[in-house]
Amino acid sequence: MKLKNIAAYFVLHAKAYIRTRSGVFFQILFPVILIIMFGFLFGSSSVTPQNLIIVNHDNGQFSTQFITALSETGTFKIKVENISNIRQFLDQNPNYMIMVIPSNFTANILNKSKVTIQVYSNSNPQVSSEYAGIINTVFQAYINSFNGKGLSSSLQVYDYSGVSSRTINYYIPGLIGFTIISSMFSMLYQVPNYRREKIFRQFKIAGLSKSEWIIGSSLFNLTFNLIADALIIIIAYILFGAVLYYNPLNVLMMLIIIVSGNLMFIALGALAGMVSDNEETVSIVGNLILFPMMFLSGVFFPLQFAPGYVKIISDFLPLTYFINALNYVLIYNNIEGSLYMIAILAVSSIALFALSSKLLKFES
Amino acid sequence: MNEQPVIVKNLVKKYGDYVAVNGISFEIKKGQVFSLLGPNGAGKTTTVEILEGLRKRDGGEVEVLGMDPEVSKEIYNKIGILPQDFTFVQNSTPKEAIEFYCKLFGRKLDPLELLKTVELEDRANVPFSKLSGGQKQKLGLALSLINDPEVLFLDEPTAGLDPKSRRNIWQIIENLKKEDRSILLTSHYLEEAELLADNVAIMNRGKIVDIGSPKELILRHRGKDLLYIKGGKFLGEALENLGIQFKNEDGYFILGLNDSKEAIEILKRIDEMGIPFDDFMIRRENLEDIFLKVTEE
Repeated sequence: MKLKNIAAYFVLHAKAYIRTRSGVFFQILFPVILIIMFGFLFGSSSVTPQNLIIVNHDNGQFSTQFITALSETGTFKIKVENISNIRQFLDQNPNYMIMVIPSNFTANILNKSKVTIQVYSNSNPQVSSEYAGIINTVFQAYINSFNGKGLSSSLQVYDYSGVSSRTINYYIPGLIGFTIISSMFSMLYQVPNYRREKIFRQFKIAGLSKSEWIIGSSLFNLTFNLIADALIIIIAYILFGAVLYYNPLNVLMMLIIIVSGNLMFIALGALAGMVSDNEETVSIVGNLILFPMMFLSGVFFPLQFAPGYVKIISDFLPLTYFINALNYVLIYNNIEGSLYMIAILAVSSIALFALSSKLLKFES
Repeated sequence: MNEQPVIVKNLVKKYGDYVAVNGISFEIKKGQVFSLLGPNGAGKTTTVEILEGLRKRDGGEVEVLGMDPEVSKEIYNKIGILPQDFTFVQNSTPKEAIEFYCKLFGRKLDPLELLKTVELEDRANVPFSKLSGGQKQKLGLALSLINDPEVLFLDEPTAGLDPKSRRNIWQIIENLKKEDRSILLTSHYLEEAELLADNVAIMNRGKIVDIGSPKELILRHRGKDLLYIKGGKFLGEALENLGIQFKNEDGYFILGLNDSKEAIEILKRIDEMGIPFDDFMIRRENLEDIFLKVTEE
């Protein structure tokens, strides 16, 4: 593998790509337009605090800490009460949500057993799922803060000040996810097109290898995505006051997530492109990959109310790990909790990358 | 120095049960233009792609510049390839394409100078998708020259081009020939082969049905010269009265001649009979007639 060949392809492709107005639009301008649009719609105001009644059956210290953490997000107007008939209460007060903390909450944390909380709602499912999503992320972050440490020494109140009540924050990982999906689509269209038009053959004749081509393409897409991602974050920060964690370690982890995600989606696009031999198949294969990920990765719809099998499916979708890892690193400042997701992303991106380099054929 | 840069012996290529190339043999000498002629599906492109190392053969031996193209990747540093219907990255320009190839081949060339040799310098910064068919082929030709190849494979270089572009590319090939490069040219334009090729192999159904210089092929298969006389029905009656056999095609009466003098004799007798005729010409069989004859046999 020769670096000069990779660089030569990078330059050729970048110059050609800049002339493709639709490509530049979808990869850079469209996500920027979306963040500006979301920012103007939701960014300048805080999330309206949601009435939340907490039924706390636990008398331990951890449930109290968790309630405090939840209240510090500023997202909820919390009252701790005992409600005997939840269904009846919600029927009469549809604007309320109820969260039930079980009696074994503290004990289970101490025993390192599974901890479950229940959230009830009777309002617009989309709105309630947004709030349930916030409860869930705070809950997950809180539970993860105990991971791998002795409880007595690691007891800490998780810093939720960054779990801002600004809605704009929650759009950023999804939009970064959108940019890497565009890379996948560019590969999905390019592989069958280059094979059909025999451009791959030209590359082979000129001495560009398959790996050099894939790496050149990945570097190109990564560069453009990083530009788009930087623009998204800068615009969200400057125009709409997005509150993200910008510590060097968080930025480094974000870069690792974006690089791994890019590699993975480039490889996925290349693999999908190999089975697509015409424009119709490309479109079918693209949508087959895209739609399940859009709906089952928690990008647009939180999954906590989804049936168990949907959650199982989402565990197999790479975008789930990508979005969650970015949430943990940029919004919840929970790097430790994001590590296993980053590991899954990195390992699967390397595996898929190797597979696509192996299976890609320059000849038709 | 390789005096026979291309050697093909009993080459066989099959696609399932279909035999695309059936035991063909030929050689190309240094500085020679060798043309493979044949109808669509004759096996020309398959043969060329095997020689370029882009397809595997099922039998026989192939040597290009002393290397087996199926095995040696080195070959791409020494051969130039213009594939049929050359295409490239749509939004890249000819200048960028040349710079890309130069980097891959490790050559330092002035893209504009190279584009000048194929008369494309004024389109140096135009995206590939906006070039005409002839200009795309010229770019393909320019790219095939970047590594200063000893052997060039030009697969249907002028297919689908207008007559002006075609002649333009012929001129470039003539110039390449003068530089002592060996060229394998596939074409279905017989005029092209007749004009450019030193040797021609006519392929049909995977086999070489004849091989030789254009002149040799014409002499070998040549039939009678033909006299074309344009005239009305009286001319036909007069020819019948003279006992001369003829065909009538597109207003012309076509007569076979044993020699050129016979044409003068026939025209003189028609004139003496007072039969008017508008026009006449003598046509000698060309490579196209030979090609049709050979491939129909």
